Amino acid sequence: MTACNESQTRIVALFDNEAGDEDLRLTADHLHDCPACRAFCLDLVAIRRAGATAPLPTLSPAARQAVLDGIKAEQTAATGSRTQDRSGWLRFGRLERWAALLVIGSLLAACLVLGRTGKDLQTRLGAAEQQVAAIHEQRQIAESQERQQKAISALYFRMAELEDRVNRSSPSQRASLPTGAHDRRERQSNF
Amino acid sequence: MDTYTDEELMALVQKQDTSAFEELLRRYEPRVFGFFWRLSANRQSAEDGTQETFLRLWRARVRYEPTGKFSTYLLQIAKNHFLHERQKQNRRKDHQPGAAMNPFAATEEPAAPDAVDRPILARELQTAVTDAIARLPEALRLVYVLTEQEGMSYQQVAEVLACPVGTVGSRKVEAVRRLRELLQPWRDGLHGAGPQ
Repeated sequence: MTACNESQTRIVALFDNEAGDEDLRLTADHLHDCPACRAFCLDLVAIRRAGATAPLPTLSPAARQAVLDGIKAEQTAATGSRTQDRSGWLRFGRLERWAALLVIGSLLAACLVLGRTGKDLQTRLGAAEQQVAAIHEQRQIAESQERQQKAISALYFRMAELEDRVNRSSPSQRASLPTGAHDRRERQSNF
Repeated sequence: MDTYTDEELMALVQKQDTSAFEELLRRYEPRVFGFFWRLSANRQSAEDGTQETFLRLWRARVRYEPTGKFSTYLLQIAKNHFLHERQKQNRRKDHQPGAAMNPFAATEEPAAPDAVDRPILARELQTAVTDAIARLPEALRLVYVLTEQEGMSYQQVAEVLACPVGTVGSRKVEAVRRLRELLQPWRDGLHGAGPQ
């Protein structure tokens, strides 16, 4: 029975051009001794012949037209929905463009204002720095003058003390010292 | 349009060219209709199947890629539609008591000839064979129709049905065996009558 099953598989494959020479030889050998497989083979031929010659109706013109109409209807529907989509997209695009312009304008204005303010601040800072430097310089000069005045005052005070001490000292000691008024003027001018 | 290949026509169809689609319809309408006719032996089903197949082809035009034969692609669409319709029918039948669940079960009881003792015309035999094919379980019927009636190789059928080549061979043998059983009452006529 297994041999018959294999043989029938080979017979079908041979009729379908799916088998080789070896299958043909094996099948021929089997058919020679097996009436059941010979009957199978004959039935297969008869069924194939009847099926091949069976009349095949054709698609009716109405059905053919229905196919074409269906496609045209789908095409029209697709075009309509595409147009709708496109107009929606355009509307959205217009709004989006306006929004983008508004945002860009605002950003530019902000940049301009900020730029101008920044420049002003920078100028003002520079002027303030210059003023601070001038004030600092003036202060330094004033301090230096004050220090000089103090030094001069201290010096005069010391000189006055010295003159006073000289006046109270002996005449011999006073002779070795320069004349008071002249020397004082000279010292002052030298100083 | 006659000189264009199927793939070139599909490229035009992808650009919404309806005349290219009409040419494809003209070329393949008999084959697709024949495919459904042999599967169902019913004109209305065959016309519906053909219409739906070409509509599906139109809808799927954007996804089409010319990687294989166009006819294989088209018959895949047809086969999918056929199986989809069969599933719908089976679902309806499932709600009825005693519904058959085996996909390899024959769809209906085989019809016996009403009068086998009178001479059998070739036309009657042809109708009997067509009916017997339509009564095969769908898995076997698809393989039989695609190999026998469409002349496709086992490899091509395997591509259409998305199954191994060996399965195609075994289903084909099983289909022939079932046909022999279904046509047993017509056996004398089959061997005696030739085409008239």
